[in-house]
Amino acid sequence: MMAVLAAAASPSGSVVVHVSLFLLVSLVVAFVTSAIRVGDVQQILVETRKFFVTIILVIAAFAVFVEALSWVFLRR
Amino acid sequence: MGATQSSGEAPAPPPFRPSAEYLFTAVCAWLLPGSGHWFLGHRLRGAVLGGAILGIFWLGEAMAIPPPESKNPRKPIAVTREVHPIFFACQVGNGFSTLMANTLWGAPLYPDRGAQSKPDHHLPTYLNLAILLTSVSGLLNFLLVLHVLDPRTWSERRASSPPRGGSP
Repeated sequence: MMAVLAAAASPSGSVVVHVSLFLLVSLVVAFVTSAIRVGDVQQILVETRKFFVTIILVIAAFAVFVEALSWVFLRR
Repeated sequence: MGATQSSGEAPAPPPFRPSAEYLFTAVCAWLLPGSGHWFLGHRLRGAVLGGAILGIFWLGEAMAIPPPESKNPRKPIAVTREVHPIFFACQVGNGFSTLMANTLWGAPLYPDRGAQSKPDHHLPTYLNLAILLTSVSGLLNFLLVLHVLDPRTWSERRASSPPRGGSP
């Protein structure tokens, strides 16, 4: 347990924790919004998957854009 | 504008009027995530949605406990109206959980002295994520409350279920 906490506190571990929780929150948001819009279980799962993939792709594209701006203007 | 109903059409549904049950369900949906859908008869959906929303809320609270080396009391600090009122406006979507967290643990750890405040080096490592999780869960429950408040949800319920019955 202590090893896990120590790993999570390291810079690389921190990135893993942030990305994991970001994926978790995105999944819950996709699931809840899908469950509100449609009623059938199968449809909810399909909509959740589509919305989740969309969120991930859009945020990843935005992250790449911000990283590119950072490299262009800050050179780091 | 004066549309007449032909003899073959189904009669128009009666206009929606908010009842005591409607208000009670909406308040319950706010206080306890998923309970509104439970009362509407969507029991499985209400339980799963409530579990997911409360799950990320309390995960966030658990991540906001200061580390043992901190001199501060070991109580979660993600929900505190006095310290971050804007996030609290999002978190309060969770109703009872948020009010309880704010009442039990929401007091500031130390007085705000502005520029004279010393930096606290022992805040929880993932306090930012904790505030994010609790805020997102509150906003998601606002969506559930809006769905319960929508007259179309009640029309569908009347159309699809017997008066006092519930679907699993």
